[in-house]
Amino acid sequence: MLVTANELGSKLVVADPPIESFEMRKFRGADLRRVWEAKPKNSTEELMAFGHAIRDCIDPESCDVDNLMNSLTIYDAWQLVVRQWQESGVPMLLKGVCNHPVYHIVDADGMQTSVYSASNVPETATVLSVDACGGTASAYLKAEDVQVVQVHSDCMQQTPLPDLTLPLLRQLYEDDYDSTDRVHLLRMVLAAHDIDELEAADIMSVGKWLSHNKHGVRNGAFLLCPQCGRQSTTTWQMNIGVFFE
Amino acid sequence: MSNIAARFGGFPSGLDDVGLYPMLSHHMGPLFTAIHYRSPELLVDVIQSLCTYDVLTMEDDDFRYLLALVDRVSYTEDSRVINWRCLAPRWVKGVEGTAGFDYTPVNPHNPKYRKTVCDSLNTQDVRFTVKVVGERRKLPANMKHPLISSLEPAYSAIKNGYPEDLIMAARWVDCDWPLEAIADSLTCEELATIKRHMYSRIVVQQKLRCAFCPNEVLNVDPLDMFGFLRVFSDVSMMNMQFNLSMHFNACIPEDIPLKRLLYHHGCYVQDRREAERKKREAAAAAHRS
Repeated sequence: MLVTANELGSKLVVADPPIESFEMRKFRGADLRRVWEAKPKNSTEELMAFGHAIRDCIDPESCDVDNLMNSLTIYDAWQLVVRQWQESGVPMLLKGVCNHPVYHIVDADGMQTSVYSASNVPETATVLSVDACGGTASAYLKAEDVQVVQVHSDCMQQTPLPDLTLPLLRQLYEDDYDSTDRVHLLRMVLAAHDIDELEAADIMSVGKWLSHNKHGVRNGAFLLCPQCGRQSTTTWQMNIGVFFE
Repeated sequence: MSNIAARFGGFPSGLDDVGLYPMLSHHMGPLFTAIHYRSPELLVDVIQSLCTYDVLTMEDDDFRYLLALVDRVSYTEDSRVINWRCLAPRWVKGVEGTAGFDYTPVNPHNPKYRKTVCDSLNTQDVRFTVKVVGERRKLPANMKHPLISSLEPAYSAIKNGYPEDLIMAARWVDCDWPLEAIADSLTCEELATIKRHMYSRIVVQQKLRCAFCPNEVLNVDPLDMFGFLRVFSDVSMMNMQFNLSMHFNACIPEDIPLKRLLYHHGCYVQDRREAERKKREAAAAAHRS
């Protein structure tokens, strides 16, 4: 499959020389087995195992593989894994519990009913209790529903400090970072600086810049409750188990 | 040899002329080892020694059906003790052990009650019912029903670190390659297609009833090859033979059918319990008078 730089969350702005596009083959059983064999304990270790698998999948004739792997951010790597899932046609089942309120009321005639909104409760009625709906909502995530957030086009020009970089996949292999921890992300961005010598205001502005340029795949999805018909949100996580569902 | 192949409705693939010998007590040693250590090779060997058909050429579902037949021919029809936890909703008021504590399995629509789960641990004697459900399905062109001969390579590959889902899917591919090579070459699309078509027709169902709330569960699972047959360790077998020979001065032959040994020992245990009950009642009567 052809992946262009403009599809990716970071648009490969860190790449030097810039990369337009590259060719990637689909995951095979051997790739999945290598990720499985690594027995990742958390999402960072899983991402590192996926990184090796992605490196094997990239066609070396379509781009400079070392340059590409050095310029992928951690969110780009997750996006490539999600892209592999999108191409595979494997279903992903999302499940959630509806937490919208249900009002159990007794109206003036003594009839017990349930209404779904406080505004629908008649003035003459007495509210017995308010419960969560509790309906089990489930849906299959569609491959085309996955949304990607991208960095701003001038993100590397308007940095608060010089020599900043986006959190890169390469850095996970170099040092003991946790990709889900915000402090670790800041340390990755400020890898070229000595944090002890920076002022607090500088670090805060870097944190703001990082949040402003947050990118990658959105992991939210909507579910429809079969009992009350109201919409609720849920989140999904990409991991190796998704490919075996 | 008994021919009871049609006991549960016939073999799923329509196999005929399968003879089955009842299991003898000396088969229990290897069977215990096979199931305790999850060794498919040994399990197939033990079942092969009881069966006139070549087990390695059977399909998975036929083998599961054969296990159900072995259970019927070689064991007494006992219930099995299982532990399970009830997860039915329950509405509770107050704190347990204090005045005003109350709980109900239906929603009372009362704000004083809060929703929890029953969460009680049940130990229950249940009967396992084996059923053949559905019909034999037609598979796509590049798939086949897996054979028992690929069971041993599959488990050795899983031991070598292959994911179980991948290997079990690879068994359904119609290909002459070694299993690990098939698993390595599968694409995610093929894996998803195979997973959609994998099925098992032999199911075991148990009816569970919670002792603390009106919850009833009908548990239906595919027959687990390594969890279905009841096995006894060497010490259990020797204990049974020791009890019979000590209390009845009976000479227990080494190759006694397992069913007969279990039945005799069951009768012995029942007799002993009855005697103990009578003794207790007599002691209580003497104490009263």
